[in-house]
Amino acid sequence: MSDFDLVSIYHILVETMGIWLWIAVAVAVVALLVIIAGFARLRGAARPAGGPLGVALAAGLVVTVVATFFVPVWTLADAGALLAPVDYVFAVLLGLVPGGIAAVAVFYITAARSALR
Amino acid sequence: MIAGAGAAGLSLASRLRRDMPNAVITIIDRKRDHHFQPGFVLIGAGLWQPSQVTSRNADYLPGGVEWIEAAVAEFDPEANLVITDSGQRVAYDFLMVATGLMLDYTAIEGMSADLIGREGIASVYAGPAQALASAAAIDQFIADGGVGLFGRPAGEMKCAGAPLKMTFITEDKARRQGRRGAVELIYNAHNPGVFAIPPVNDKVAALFAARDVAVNYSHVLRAIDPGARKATYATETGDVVLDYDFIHVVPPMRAPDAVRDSPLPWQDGVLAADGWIEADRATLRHPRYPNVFALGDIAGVPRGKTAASVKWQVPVVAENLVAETAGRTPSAVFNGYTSCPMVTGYGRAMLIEFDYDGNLIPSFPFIDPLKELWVSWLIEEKGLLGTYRAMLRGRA
Repeated sequence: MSDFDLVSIYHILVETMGIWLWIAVAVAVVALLVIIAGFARLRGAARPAGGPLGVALAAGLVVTVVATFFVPVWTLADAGALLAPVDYVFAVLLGLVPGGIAAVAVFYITAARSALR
Repeated sequence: MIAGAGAAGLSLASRLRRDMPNAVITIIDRKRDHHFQPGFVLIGAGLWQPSQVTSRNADYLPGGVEWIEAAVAEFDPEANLVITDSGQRVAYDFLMVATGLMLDYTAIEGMSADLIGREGIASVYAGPAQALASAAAIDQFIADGGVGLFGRPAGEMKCAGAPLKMTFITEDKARRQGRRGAVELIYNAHNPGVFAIPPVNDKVAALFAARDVAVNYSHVLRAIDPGARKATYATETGDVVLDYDFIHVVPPMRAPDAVRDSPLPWQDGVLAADGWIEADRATLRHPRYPNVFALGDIAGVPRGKTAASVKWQVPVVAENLVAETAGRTPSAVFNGYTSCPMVTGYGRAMLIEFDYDGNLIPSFPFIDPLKELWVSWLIEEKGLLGTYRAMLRGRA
């Protein structure tokens, strides 16, 4: 595993994902900005962040769980292909991608609504 | 001079271009297409298409490397010359031989590569189109039912796990289609084991037993009668003829003629007969011609006929060549690393990695090499192609 240094991993990701790597980076940056914007709106309206954060975490959790069981299908395997704890760990990590996006989107929407009240 | 623009040749060209910016680097190969050969099994499984494993050599050739689009016809290491099939004589200071190997289908009496996809004959080794034809042959076999034969040649071969993978894939596909009872599967091992590494052998044998795959030991395919669908195997007690409805043929493999006819191969020992290039197993340097290195499938070392081995051989040869040209003693060592993501069904695999001594040397401490896992399949299906391409660019 020591052979997989950061530079190698970067090049492997570039070759594996192609243009999707940069789309993923862009989505991550946008998500970060959306989170900051959500907190800014809550702060501007003097509203607590606890509610929107809770809803966002719940939404992200649901999407992550659902996505986890569909990750094997993305690898041309059956949804029931997860066999061992390490399989679930990696499936959850990949499921966190759509889960995280959903959580960010829900956080911003609930934060915006909360700020308007 | 690099002879061969396959995985080893291109990877080495990329490394050397970076490590030796002032060197004149020439690569010789007639082939324009480049195939990601580890993907052939996934085509044979009916999952990938040939386009997914096919690209162009030109896409990976680093700038500043001269490409002679010709085949090597002759090696003359005494005169430090390579002669192409167009008659061009190219001199070198250092020669890295990475020609790959030759699939010798005709060494099996009655067999030729043209038969793949016909008469119940499959073989994923010959190329992406043949792997696709093999997938269709497997589907037909499962639909019709009958006896399916698998096996491997007796000599050195690339990706020794592939014959086992194709057995597992056929078994799993038949089971998933509710046709397992209609097919009888037999694996013909070339010696008393199904895999060279004892713990892997035990695991695969146990999986075969659990999945009702019969194993004949010390059976080597010698002849085939496609019309009558009979296969003749050489055994310790003489020839044995087996009827079949489907057979996955893995051809004997040997060095290309240009290498075989040169002074470069081993002169005696088990690696001499098929013309593998004599090389120190640690430094990959030729003992009789110190300005020659061998890597990839053509290297006459005990293991190493996989893309995974190439990934570890290339930095060793590059480092040793740089050391040699700088007046230092080459000291980089190849430990025989080989990897085989042993697909044992759709969505499951065992990520087996081992060295010259047969020690299991897992890259990832969280992956048990002897356990069927989806995460190992994930690496096979999603991870290897990108890693391979990064390797071709000298970046992994």
